[in-house]
Amino acid sequence: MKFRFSGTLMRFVEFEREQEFAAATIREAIDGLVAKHPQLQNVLFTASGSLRQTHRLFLNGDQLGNDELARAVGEQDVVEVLTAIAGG
Amino acid sequence: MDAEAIAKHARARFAAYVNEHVNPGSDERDRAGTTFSREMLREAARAGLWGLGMPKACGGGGANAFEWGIALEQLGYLADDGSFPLVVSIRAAIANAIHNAGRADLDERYVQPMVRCELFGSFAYSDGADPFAFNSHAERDGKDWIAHGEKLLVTGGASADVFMTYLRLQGSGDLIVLLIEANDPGVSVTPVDVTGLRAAGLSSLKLDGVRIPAERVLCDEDGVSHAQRFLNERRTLLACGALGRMQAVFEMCIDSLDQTVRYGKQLVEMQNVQATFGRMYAGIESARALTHFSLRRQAGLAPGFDPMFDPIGAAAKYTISERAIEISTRAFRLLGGKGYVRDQRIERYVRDFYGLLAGGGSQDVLEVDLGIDAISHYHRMKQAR
Repeated sequence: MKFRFSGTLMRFVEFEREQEFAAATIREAIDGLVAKHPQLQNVLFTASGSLRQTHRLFLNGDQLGNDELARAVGEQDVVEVLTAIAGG
Repeated sequence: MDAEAIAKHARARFAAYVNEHVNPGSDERDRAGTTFSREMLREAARAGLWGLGMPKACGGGGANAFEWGIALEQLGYLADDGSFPLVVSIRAAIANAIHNAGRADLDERYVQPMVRCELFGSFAYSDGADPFAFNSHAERDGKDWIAHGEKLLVTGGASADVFMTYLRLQGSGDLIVLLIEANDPGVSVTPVDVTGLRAAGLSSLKLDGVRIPAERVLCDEDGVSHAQRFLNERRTLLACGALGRMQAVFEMCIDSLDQTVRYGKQLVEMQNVQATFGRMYAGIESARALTHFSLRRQAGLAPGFDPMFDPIGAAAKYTISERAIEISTRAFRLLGGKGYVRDQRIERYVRDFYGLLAGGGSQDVLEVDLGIDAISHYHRMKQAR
């Protein structure tokens, strides 16, 4: 499957907008992503391992709940990660 | 109630208080950079204004976002000091954020006194770095937390008693949210000399090994999301006062040009002046329509509000800020030399409006976030067709 990034997260994936991983589930693909870019671990996940709520994930255009990372994915699937971070 | 009825009610209810307690002395506060006195704000509580947007369960008015936003818009219209609606709104926002933790001990210690106007809260977030690399941090010491670092621009900080403070955790890089009190040893608050909104008490907050007990942890992980949720809800509300002030500037211009005669004609009869008023009117009404739509979504009166990043809310804050600067600049042009005189206060309103360029999510960052969101939305819609 393919991840698509933009904005704030780009620097944590070395400005590669799209990244492909062979994985059976979204979670497995994220594990591959974090292995490639270890600095993403703290950015995407809390210390207890939950996906931070500020990230919005879309699988082929459908927004995913935080408990849906176990969903099966295939080669053609695309997960877009949107993160809007603003100051106070 | 519809927007007009709420606005009428708010104006009738708060005009006397604002005219008696807020507007006198606004020039002096601006020149000296001093914030509102506690006594003056207590009068706001007596007028039923202070707690209107605070939690009902703690004695507040429990106004929803739509009602509260329109009340703030009317405060901006009535009060010639742009800092006033800003300070009132940040105090309510902090009371709500603490109440939302769902803890009776925090309601009793903080929220109830906040509703009674005995305790003021502020939001201490930005420290000059992005939230994944904050320099301000906390470390564990037994059951307590020790806070270090500096928050650079805290709205209402000069008179705050408690700061909702976001600190990076050593090791994990996560953010924790601590309630740090102004009189905790190691805390120092320094007013910052700013361009506009000079009565809003913008201050820096320095934390030098401040010990915070475990019961004052508001959120123990994912503080980034806590902050973004807070800012997302706050974005439209913080700009509502400026929307009201735009309307006041507009009316002030018409009133002034009504009384100005050049070459035997009132200036309002000249077509180029009429066209300028037409542009100003379109700017104000489009900003108002978007803002009220955003507030309705936030209050749950219309569907679609996104609790983490609501593009309509961001667009509303963005639009108010841009239109406010545009309209005050047009006011300068219309009023000529008269507008350049400080007593007219147009220059103060311009300086106040400039505060919105950076506050509540800077305009430039919001442009990027909105653009990314819009492109993604388009791609999703295209895919669904």
